[in-house]
Amino acid sequence: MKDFFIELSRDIRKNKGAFAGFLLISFFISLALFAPLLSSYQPDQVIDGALRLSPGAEYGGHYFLFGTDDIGRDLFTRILFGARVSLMVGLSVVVLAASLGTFLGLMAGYFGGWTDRVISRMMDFIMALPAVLFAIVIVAVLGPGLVNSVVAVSIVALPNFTRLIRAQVLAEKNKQYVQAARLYGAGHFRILFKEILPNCMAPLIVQGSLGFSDGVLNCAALGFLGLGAQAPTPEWGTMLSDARSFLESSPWMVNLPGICILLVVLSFNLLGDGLRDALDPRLKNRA
Amino acid sequence: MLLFALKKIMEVLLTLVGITFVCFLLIRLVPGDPVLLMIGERNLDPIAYAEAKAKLGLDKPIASQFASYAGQVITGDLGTSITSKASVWSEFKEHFPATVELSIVALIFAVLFSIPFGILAAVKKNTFFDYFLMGTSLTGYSMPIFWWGLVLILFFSVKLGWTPVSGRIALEYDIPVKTGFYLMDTLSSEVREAEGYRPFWSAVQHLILPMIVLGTIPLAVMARMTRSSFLEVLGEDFVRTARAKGLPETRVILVHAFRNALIPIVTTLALCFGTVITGAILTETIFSWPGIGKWIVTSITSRDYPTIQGGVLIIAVIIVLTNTLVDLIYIYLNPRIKNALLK
Amino acid sequence: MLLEIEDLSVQFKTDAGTLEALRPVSFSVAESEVLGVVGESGSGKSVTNLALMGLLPANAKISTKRVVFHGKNLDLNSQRELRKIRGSQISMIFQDPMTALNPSLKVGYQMIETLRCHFDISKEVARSRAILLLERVGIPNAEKRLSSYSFELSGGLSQRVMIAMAISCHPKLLIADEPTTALDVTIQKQILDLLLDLQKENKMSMIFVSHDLALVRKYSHRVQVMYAGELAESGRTEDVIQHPHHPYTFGLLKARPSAHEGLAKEPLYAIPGVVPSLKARPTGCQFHPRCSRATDVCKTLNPKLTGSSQKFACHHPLETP
Repeated sequence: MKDFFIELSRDIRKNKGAFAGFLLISFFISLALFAPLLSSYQPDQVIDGALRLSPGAEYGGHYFLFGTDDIGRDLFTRILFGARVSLMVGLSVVVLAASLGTFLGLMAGYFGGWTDRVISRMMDFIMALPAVLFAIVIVAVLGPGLVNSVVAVSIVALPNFTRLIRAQVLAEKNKQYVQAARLYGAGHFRILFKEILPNCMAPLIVQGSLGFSDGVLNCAALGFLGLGAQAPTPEWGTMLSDARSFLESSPWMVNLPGICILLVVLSFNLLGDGLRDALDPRLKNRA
Repeated sequence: MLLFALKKIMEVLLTLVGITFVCFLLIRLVPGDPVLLMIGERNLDPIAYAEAKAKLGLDKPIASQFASYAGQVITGDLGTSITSKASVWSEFKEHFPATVELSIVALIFAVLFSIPFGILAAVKKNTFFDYFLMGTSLTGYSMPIFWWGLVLILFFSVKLGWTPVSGRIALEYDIPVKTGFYLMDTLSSEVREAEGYRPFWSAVQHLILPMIVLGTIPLAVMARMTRSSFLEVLGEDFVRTARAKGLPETRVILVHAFRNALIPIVTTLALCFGTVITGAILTETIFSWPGIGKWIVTSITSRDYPTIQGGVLIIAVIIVLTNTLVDLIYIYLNPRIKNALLK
Repeated sequence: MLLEIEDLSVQFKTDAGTLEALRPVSFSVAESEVLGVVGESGSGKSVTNLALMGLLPANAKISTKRVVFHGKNLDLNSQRELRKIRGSQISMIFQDPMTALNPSLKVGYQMIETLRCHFDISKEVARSRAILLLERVGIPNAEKRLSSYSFELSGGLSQRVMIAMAISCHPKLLIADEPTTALDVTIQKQILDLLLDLQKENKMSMIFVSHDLALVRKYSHRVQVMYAGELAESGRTEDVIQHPHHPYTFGLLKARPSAHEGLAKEPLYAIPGVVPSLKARPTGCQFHPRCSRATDVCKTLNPKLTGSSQKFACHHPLETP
C-alpha cells in the first residue's frame, strides 16, 4: 500500500496536467483551511453602507479585495469560506458514494446471481435519469438544503463507483492469487477486502477524483437552482444565483464564484485525467 | 436475433416499470400528507378530503394504488397540475418542442465542432495545437454552464447587444404554433407573407446563446472521445494497409479510420442526451426558455407535485427510449455484432 | 536494377533517447527477382520495408544517400512522392491478414477503392476487375465475396484478398512481410505458391521477408541476412545456404529443424543469447556477445560488408573463399 502511494505521487509529478491539478487543489485546500486567518471578516458580516463595491474598493477604512455583495458582505471572505463548503461537499459526496458504491460493487461482482441482478438493476434505474434531474427529484422529496443536496448528488454518483468496482471484481475474481487464497481457506470477507479490494485502488482513486469534480459541480448547480445550500451559506452556486439580478451592474458578484467553481472542478478533472493515464495500464503503454 | 430483441424489450420494459414505480413512490415519500400534496391545498374540510382521497385512490392498499397509477400512465393520464389545473400531459406537450429544438440544435453544434477538433488533435498528436484543443475541451468539460450562460449574456447581449437576453422569439411576433419548433413555424407561408423572414431571424438570434451554453459540455466530451478513439484506430493495421494502398491521407482518416472510430463516438453522443437534458434544466432557467427544464424547476419551486411526478416520468421514459435507439444504431454501425445477431 | 538503396538508416526518437533501428544499409533488387530477407524479430527487416513505403511512425528519422527506383530518384522523406508509387508501383502485404483489412468496410469496397485510386475507371469497371482479381488469387464465389467483411473470412482467404489488392495495380515490386507467419502451415504453401506464380506471371520483383530459412531457400533467388539493424550477409540463396560465411547465418541454419535428422539424437541447436536491445547496443560487431568465434577485435571494430557476389560482415568468417 505504501509503495502504491509512492508510485502514485511519482505519477502525479510526471504528468503535467495532473501536477497542475494537484497544485490548484492544494491551493484551494489551503484557502479553505486558513480562511479565518486570510480574511478579517465573517462570511455573513454586513458592513453598513458598503453595497456592491467593485473589487479593490475602499470604504470607511475597509479594503475589499473582491468587492462586496448587495447587502454589504465582503466577497473575498465569502469566496474563501465558500471553498470550505465546496471542498466539504465534494469530499462528502466522494466518501459517501465511494464507500457505499464499493460495498455494493464488491457484493454484486463477488456473489453474482441475484445479488448482482438486483444491484445492477438498481444502478440502471439511477442511471436512467440524468444526474441533475435525479438530484432534483431527490431534493424535491427531501426538501432543499445543503445536506440534502449532498445526499442527492451522492446517490447520483453511486452507479459510477458500483459499476467500476463490480467490473474490477469480475476481472480479479478468477485470477490465480484469489484462487490461491480460496484454496488456503480464506473466507469471503478476507478475500474481498484483503485480496480483491487493494487491486481496485487505482481505478477507485481515479473515479474518486472525477467524482469529486462532478459532486462539486452538481451541488453548485442545485445551489444555483435554489435547491441546494440556502442563503446565507456562502456556497458558490447559491451566491451566483443570488447575484444574477446584478449581472449588469456588478458582474464580479457573478463571475468570482463562477470562476472558483470552474477552477475547482477543472483541477479535480485534471488530476483524475492524469491519474487515469498514469494508472490505467492499458493506456500506460500506448505510444 | 429474436432472442436478443426479446431480451432487449424485456430489459427496457423492466426499466420503465421501475421508473414508474419510483415516480409513484415519489409523492408518498415526500414528508406531509399526499392527499394535501396532490390537491395543493393546506386545509381541506373532512368531506372534501375524503372525496379527494377516494378520487386519487389513496384509500386503497398500496399495491392496487400502483396498479391503478400504472394503468393511468399507460393511457396517458399523468394527473393534473396544481398550479395551472391543466393536465400534466398537455403541459408537457406544450413545453416539449422548445426543449427538443434547443437540444437538437445544441447537439448539432457540438457534433459539428467536436468531431473535426478531435480528429485534428489526434492527427496532430502531442503538438501545441493538440494540447491547446484538449486543454480547452477539459475546461469546457469542467464548465459550470449556469455561470457560462451568464458570462455569454453579459458579453454578447449586454456589452455588444448582438443577441437577446431571454425567450424564444421577440415579443412583437405572434407565431401560430404548428410543429412547436420556431425555426420551422416561422418559415410557414402565412408568417412569411405577413412578416417576411424577420421572425425566423429573431428565433435564430434567440437560439444562439442557449445553443452554445447547452452544447458546450457535449462538445468537450465528444472532442475528447473523438481524439482518443482516433488515436486508437490510427494505430491499427488496417490504417497502415490503407496507406500502403496509396490512398490519400484524407481518405485514410475520413473513411478508413472514421468508420471504425465512429462507434465509441456515437456511444458518447448517446450518453450526451442525459447531459443535454440536465443542461437544458439549467440553460432554460438562465435564458427563460419555455421548455420542460424550466417547467420542472418551476413546478418544484411551486411544489406542484403532480407535475413533478408526471414530468420526471416522461423525461425518464424519453431517455430510456433514446438509449435503446442508440444501442440499435450501435449494432448497425458495427457489422461484426450485426452479423452475429442475424445468424 | 529495379531498386537500388544506398546507406538507408532509420532512427526512432523516443523518451528514452534516439534508437538506431537501422544502421546504414545498402542493397538492391533486380527486375523479376525475389529477394529473401531473413532475421530474428528486431533485426530491422520490417523497418527497412516500412521506410521504403513511407509507413513508419512520425517519430522515425530516415536518411539515405541515394534511392533509385525504376530509374528515378526517390526521396523516402517525401510522403507526396511515396504516395504516388505506393499501391501502384510498390505494394505490400502484411503478417496478419485478419487485422490488415478494415473490419467496417466490405471487401469489395476496399478493392474497388484501391483500383479507382490509381486508375481513372468507373465503379462498374473496377468491380468487374476486382472479381477477376479475386478469381485469379483462387477465391471461390468471387462475386459474392465482394460483399463480405474481413471478419467473415478465414486467415487464408483474407491473405488472398490482400494479395489480390496488392497486385491489382500491377506493381513492379511486391513486399511480402512474413505473409504466412500468422497462417496454418497447410495454407502457408498455397499462399507462397500463389505469390510465386503471380511474381512470374507479372514479372514483378518481390521482397520476401521471413524468419524461416527453408521457405526463403525455396522461394527466393537471393537472400540477405539481417542482424540488429545491419546486413550480416547477402548473396545468391544457394551460395549463402550451402556456404555461409557469417557465424550468425551459420547459427540460423543450424537452428533449423531439418527433415533428414528425423528423430535427432541431439537437441535442436539454439544460438545462445538474444538480439541486443536497441537501447543497449554492444560495441564493435553487433553479434560478438553471442558468437563463438569472437576475438578482441570483434569487441571494438564493427566489420564492414566485404566480398563481391556473396557479401558478409565478419572478422572471422567461416570457410573464407
